[in-house]
Amino acid sequence: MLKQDQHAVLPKSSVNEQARQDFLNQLGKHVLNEITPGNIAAYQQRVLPKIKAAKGRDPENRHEIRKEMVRDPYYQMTSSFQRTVQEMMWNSVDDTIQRQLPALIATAKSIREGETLGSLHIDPDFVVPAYVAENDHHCMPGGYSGDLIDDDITAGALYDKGAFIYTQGLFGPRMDGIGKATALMIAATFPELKPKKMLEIGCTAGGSTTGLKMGFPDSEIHAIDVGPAVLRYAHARAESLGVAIHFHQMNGEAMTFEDNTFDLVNCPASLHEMSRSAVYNVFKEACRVLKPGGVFLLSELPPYEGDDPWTQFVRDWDTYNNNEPFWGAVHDMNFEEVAAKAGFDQKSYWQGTGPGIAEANALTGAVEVQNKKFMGSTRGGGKAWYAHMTKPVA
Amino acid sequence: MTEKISTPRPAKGKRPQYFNDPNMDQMHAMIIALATEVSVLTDRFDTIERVLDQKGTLTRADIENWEPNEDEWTERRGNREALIRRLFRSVREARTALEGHTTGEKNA
Repeated sequence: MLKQDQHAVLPKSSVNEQARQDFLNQLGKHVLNEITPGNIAAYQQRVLPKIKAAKGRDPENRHEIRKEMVRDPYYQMTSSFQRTVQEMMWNSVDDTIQRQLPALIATAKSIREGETLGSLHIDPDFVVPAYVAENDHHCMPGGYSGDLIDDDITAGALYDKGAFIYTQGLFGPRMDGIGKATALMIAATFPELKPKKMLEIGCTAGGSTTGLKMGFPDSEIHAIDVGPAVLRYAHARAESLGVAIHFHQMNGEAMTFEDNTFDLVNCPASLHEMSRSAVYNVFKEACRVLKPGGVFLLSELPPYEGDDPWTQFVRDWDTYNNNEPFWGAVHDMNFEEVAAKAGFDQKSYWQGTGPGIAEANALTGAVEVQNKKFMGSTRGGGKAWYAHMTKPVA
Repeated sequence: MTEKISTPRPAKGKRPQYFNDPNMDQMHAMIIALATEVSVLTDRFDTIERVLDQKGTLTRADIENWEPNEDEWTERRGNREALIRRLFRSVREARTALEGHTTGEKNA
């Protein structure tokens, strides 16, 4: 049964809301697995001949394909379905939250004001960077930084419950699959790494952070995000699950941590939500706050490099259809070059695949992972993509 | 303590227009919304019937508190899939035609 584990601040759906969410989940999955794959035939039979006739050659990149595909009726139809299901899903989860918001806020507050394992630090003077403030990533109303009312937790609840539905449970019943998979990857590939002090950049509702902490139960873990409501929610969620995490409202581009603080800094699939220049800044800051010899890790979908134009076009759907304006740009980046510019040890750079979220969650035996697709891309089922680099020892 | 708020909708960011006629985009969204509500009603009927089978009487609280067991959940999932397949019959036929073969699919 596809069901998210209950915790103190997870909004509970009414019978009708649950039915709506179940249907949209299944509809999204059906479209991705049964309807969207028809696009390759539309491309081969209708679109590719048009491009060849116009240019006298095969398309050289995904952009040439996209410009013609958006005029194809089959692609218009599948994209409209995917986008509409995504919008309806968020709205349905938002209905669930709004119906019980005062109670959820009160619960988060009482957890915060009681005896806690971790901590929460909200910066009243914080300025949310424009690439988050001005865009609601993956069509989530209010975005990552939405803060609509005193002590609001809406954005965190929306992400926690909504992303569970739109990834079709792929992140696991506790939404902690990315962190768990990362811990498994470290154990498999870098077994000598035993971090005492860790940081996650872009933690949102704290799902990955709790998973990573489970892999290193004796370590101290900090997590930052730019949204106050996601952090309030993440803190209450972690406390309710009995996991000690220190949450801070901070921009990964300019952190207030001292130099040489952490043994491990992790970006749990958060870089693709940032602008290109922000990614450069985050690498530099990660290097600064790491101890000499400390490790910077990131997980993302693999870079586009090496994929043929059609595959790149398919994988790039989110850039143009799911309010992910940085998705394509970040997947075009060469992280090895970015790492070198940021001051990491060039010889230490490693990128490759490791345990995926599905593998991490199969360990719990509690999640149904049948779906290999994730919006325009594939995620889950298989391996996840990681990059690893170390700060030079002076 | 908390007044009613409303999350700003729609999400900030450019929404593509998919079809040549913007009315088609709206029509598409309306059809999916309608299909969703049909599924919601179907689930609710199913709950009502199951509670009645079990107890012979029914309150609103019974409906809200009822939760499917594993078998009932799987059965509902199958019913939803059947509804979705009926909904997408013409789309599947378009895909089959594009792919240049017939699947001989039944009960669509």
